[in-house]
Amino acid sequence: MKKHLWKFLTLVFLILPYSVSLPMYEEMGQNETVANTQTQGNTAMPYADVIVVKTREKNGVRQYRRWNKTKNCWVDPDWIDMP
Amino acid sequence: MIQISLCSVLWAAVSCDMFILLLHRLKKHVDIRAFVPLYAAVMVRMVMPLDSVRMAVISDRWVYPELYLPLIEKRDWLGGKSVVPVLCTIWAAMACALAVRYGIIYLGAVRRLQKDAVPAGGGTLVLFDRIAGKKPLSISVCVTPYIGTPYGIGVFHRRILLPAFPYSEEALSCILRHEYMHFRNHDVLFKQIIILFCMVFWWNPAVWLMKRDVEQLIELRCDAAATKGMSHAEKIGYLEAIVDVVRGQSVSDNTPYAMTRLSAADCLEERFHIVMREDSGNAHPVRNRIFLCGFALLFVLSYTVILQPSREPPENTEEGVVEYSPEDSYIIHSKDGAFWLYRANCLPVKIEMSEAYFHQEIGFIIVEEK
Repeated sequence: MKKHLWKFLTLVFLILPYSVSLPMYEEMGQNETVANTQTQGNTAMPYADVIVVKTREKNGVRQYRRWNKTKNCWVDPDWIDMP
Repeated sequence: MIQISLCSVLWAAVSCDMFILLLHRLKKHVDIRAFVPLYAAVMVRMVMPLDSVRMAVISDRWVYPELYLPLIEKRDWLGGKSVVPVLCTIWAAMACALAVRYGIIYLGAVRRLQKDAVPAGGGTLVLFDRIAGKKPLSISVCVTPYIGTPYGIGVFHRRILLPAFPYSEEALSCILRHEYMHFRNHDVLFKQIIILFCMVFWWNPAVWLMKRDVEQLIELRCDAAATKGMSHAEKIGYLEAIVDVVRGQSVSDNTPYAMTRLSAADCLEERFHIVMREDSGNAHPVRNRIFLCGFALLFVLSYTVILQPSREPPENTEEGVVEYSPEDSYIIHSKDGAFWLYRANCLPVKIEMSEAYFHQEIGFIIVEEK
C-alpha cells in the first residue's frame, strides 16, 4: 500500500508541473504583461518574459514600442506609428 | 508550450536550494523513509527547469537585475555575444572532468577492493540465504584481504565484500543484513544518481550538502529496515557489530561515494538512536503527512511562478517627444462618436477609432461620455 502511495506521489510530482494551469496567475499578470510571447523573426519564444508597451507622441504622431523588462531590451527595433 | 531559459535554470537552482535547506533543517523531525523520494523530487526540479507563459512572474527590480543582466549583456570582446555560452562551456567541461575523475577513482577502487577476492565460505552463504529469504536478489558475497570494512558495490553486478576478519556468526548476520538492505532499497543506484547529479550541478553548493545528507539518511534508513522486528537484545547485538566494524576499519579507507560502507557516514550517534527507537523514525505520522503535503505544494508552486529581473526602459532624451501611459492618460468616447485622448499636461487630441481601440488593447481605458 505504501509503495503504491510513493509511486503515486512520484507520478504526481512528475506530471503536475506540465499540466498545472492557474488562471488566477494569468489574471494577475494582465496589468503588466501585455504580450508575453516574444517573437524573434518568425519564431515564437514562449517564455514568461514581462513585456510592456510604451507609448509616446513625436511631432504630432503617436507611436508605440514594446519593452522587455526581463531582458532589459526593446523588442521592436524602432518606434512604430499607431495604426 | 514549455521551454528552458536562463531565468528558469536560475529559478530551478534557487528552488532546489530552498528544498535542500528545508530537508536538511527537518531531517531529524520527519520519517527518514520519506527523504529518498523527496530528494528524488528535488533532482527532478533541478533537471527540469521549465519556463512557460503560464507562469506567474515575480519581478525583482533591485538585486536580480544586477546579477542577471550582466550575464545576457552582449560583449564586444566575445564577438557580440553574451557570456552565457562561455559559462555553459565551463559548466560542461567541469562536469565532464569531474565525471572522468570519478570514473577513474571508481574503477580503480573496484579493482583494488576485488583484488584477490574469493567467494565467501559455505557458512556465510547459508547465513546470507537465510537473510535474503524466499525472493533473494542476485548478490555475490566475497571475502578480500585488502579491505577493513564491509562494502556493497555494483548496480548490475552486485557484490558484498567482506574483510578477511573472523566475525562471530551474530556479527556477520548483522553485517550481511545491513548490506542486503542497501541492495533491497536500491541505495547503490540512488547514490550513483546522486553523485552524477552533483557532478552535473557542481556549481551549486547546496547539492553537495544534499550529497552528505543523503549518505547519512541512507545509512539511517538501512539501519531502520535491517533492525525492523528485532528484539531489544538483537538490536544491541546489531549496534555492537557496527562498533566492531568501525573499530576494525582502516583510517585510510577511502572509497567512492556510490559504494555502501557499513561504517560510513559521520552519524553513528543518530544510527544508534534510530535503531533503538520503537517507531523506526515514524513517531508522528500526522506531522509526516502534513510535511509531505506541504512539500508537494511547494514543489508544484515552484513550477507556477518564476523569479525574473525587471528593468524600466531608458529615459527619453529626444526633443519634442511626449511620453504617456495608461497611468496618466485615458480616452473619452464622446456622444458624437469621436474619440479624444486626454494626457497629463497636454491638450486633448482627437484620434481615430482604430487608434482608440489599439490604445485600449495596450491598457488605456475608454470612458463613454454621458
